[in-house]
Amino acid sequence: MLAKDFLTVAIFMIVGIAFVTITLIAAWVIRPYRPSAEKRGTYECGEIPTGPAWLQFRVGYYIYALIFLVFDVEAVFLFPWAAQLLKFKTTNHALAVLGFVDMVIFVAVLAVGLAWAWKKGVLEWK
Amino acid sequence: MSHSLAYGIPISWFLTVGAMLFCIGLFGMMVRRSAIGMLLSIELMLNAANINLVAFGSYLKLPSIAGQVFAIFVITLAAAEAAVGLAIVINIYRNEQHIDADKISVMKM
Amino acid sequence: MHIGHIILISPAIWMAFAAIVVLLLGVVAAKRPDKGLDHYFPTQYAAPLFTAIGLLLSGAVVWWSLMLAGVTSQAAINGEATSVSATGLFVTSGGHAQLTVDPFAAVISFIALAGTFIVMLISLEHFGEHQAHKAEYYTLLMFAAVAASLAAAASDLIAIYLLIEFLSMVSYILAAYAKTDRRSAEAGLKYFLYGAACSAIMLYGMSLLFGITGGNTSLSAIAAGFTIGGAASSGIGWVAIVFTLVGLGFKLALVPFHFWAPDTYEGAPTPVTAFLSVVSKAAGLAVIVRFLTVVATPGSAGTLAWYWILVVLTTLSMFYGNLVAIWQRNIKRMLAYSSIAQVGYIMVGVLTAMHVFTRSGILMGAPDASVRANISDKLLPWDIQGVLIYLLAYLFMNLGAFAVVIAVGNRLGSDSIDNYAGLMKRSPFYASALAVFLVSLAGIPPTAGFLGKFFIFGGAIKIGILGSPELVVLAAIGVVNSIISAYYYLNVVRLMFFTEGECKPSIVGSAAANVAITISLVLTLGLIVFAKPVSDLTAKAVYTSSPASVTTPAER
Repeated sequence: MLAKDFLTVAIFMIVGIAFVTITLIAAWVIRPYRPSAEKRGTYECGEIPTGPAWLQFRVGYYIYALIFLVFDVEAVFLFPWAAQLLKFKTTNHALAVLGFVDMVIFVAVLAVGLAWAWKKGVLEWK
Repeated sequence: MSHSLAYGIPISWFLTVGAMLFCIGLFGMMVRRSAIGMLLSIELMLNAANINLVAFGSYLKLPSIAGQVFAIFVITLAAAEAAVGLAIVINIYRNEQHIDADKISVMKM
Repeated sequence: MHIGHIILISPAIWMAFAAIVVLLLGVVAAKRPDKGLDHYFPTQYAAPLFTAIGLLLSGAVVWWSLMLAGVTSQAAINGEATSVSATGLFVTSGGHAQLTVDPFAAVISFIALAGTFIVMLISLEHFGEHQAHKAEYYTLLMFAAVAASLAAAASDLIAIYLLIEFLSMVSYILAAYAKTDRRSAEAGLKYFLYGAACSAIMLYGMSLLFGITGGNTSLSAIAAGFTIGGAASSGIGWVAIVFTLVGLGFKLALVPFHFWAPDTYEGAPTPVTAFLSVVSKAAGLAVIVRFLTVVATPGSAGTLAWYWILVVLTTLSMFYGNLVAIWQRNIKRMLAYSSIAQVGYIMVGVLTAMHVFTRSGILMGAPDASVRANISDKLLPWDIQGVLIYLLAYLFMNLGAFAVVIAVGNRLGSDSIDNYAGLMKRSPFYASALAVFLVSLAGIPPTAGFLGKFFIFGGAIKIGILGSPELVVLAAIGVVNSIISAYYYLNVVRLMFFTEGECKPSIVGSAAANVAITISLVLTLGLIVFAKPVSDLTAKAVYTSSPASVTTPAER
């Protein structure tokens, strides 16, 4: 029983591994080998990189990322809420109203957070 | 505990994955020296608990979706925790120029 | 879902609202320092004012929840008539409340708000008027008060986890608040790493608890599910409870989860240290009391493995905290270690409670109010009542001590104990106030600390002689430890009164610090003067309500 359930997974894994391996080998066999200075550059588009790759990123970048992360994850709550709200509108009207008010408060609190970040100048790329 | 085979896979498999993740996280927490590494280990432990919650939630055939809701809350908190943690770590880096948790001890024990 | 009396959490709602207002006042509406809203209504005054209003609300809620305790009514939940407790909020089918604002929770919530209020006053002294990011600081303090106040009432795994984490996360930021100070940054990092790891372990325990009790998140439903099918005696049940206790033990800084405490307490800004040592612990204690008495006492306490683990940890906490505190030369560090021991004393009361909840014939951890009320007066166990009285005493004596430490540290620029030599000659008010607080912390008679210890150790002996000798031993260990602690507390008093210090400036604290010290002083001494009303009120708070507040057995 178990073996049957995992058969799909196993076939998927085998096909996945085989596909990557075969493609790489085929490319290696078929492709012509004519290197030139341009082709060996880091970027195919011809952009010439300057300086080392281990740059110190601006701290502002992390703050952007952190604010994005928090707002992004808060959005998780909006989806189940939106899916259930219409259903409750017909079955339990009082709960639907309560849910709506709750979500308005929730979004308002997030908006205050955004206003704070804005006023603090976190959103400006200085 | 229910051993229903709703998806053909017994719940103990999920719990084992959860337990393994948890142990990896706990082990990482103990051996990692970098604060970021510790943060990653903590995320593993939280996700181990999430696997448990969702597995129990779907196998026990509950009238409510408490397990899944709990897991969503945990995901949100994990994000908030990562934000707070990274902010603290960046601040440490600004002060100390490294994030090796073992070497940070201005105060005597 | 039956919502219940939402006004019971009005202090928390008000504080959350006020915190947002303070943030908007201080950041969004602030213009230049010499004009704008922040100039005419500065956040550092707005925040304590709003908190004082919250405190009044909280006092009203204590009174109201005393009225409501034990009252039940019928409500239709999902079409079924269910008996619900009047103190329960957000009650789901089966009568399980997610928040239970019984008088116990209301008193702890009051303690949390009062603590936050005093911490705000001493912050004003510590940081002054021109503090960097002051709006954020006060907002965070107010949010922490919200979390602590609601955590006291949390009776659902999701609520407990969310609120403990909320409180922790705010505390991490507060501990690292002085961000250019290396010690504060270190304090924040250590607190964060230990805290996040412990809460992850707690969450894992909770996820197991959720599963083995049949998918319940409400504590009362878990308590019922825990006794079915041997879940409580199984290995997985053991792991679930012990892991959950790890996270709560961290909040209390119980040995061996105390490693963060000394460094965090020393490195964090002193008002934050004061906050962590009182408000954060009060919230943790409320949760652990509810968790242990409702869920984790499925049988006689003496037969439970985690009961004995807690007995050992309590003993270790008392000895470790006191023995290490003796050697400290920094007064903040000394208070940090001594607070580990103080939690040990309070845990004796919590362990006593575990016995009472099984002894009064109430298994399943959902004690019926009527059964508790029937325990005759002579046998009135002082378990949770002792915890409440001790927390009240600890609130004022510890915050008072920190207020003096801040006033002295601000003027002299260091927290070394040597600074206190000859303080009596230079600043008699501060020296005598600190002396009272330290004497109270040591538990010497005419002070609040003595009253708390009397109830806790007295309660342990009362229950212990009924067949649990370990409680009597714990009480004895507590008394021995009080004597050890008297040595280092009184050493500071001796330095202040009987030695000649170097010629240092006398201490002139700000008005806010003086108000905080005076309030703490009056209540540290007043608690014993009004011992009878305090004892009656706390007895009423504990014995007219059941922490579970469940009236119908869980239907599953």
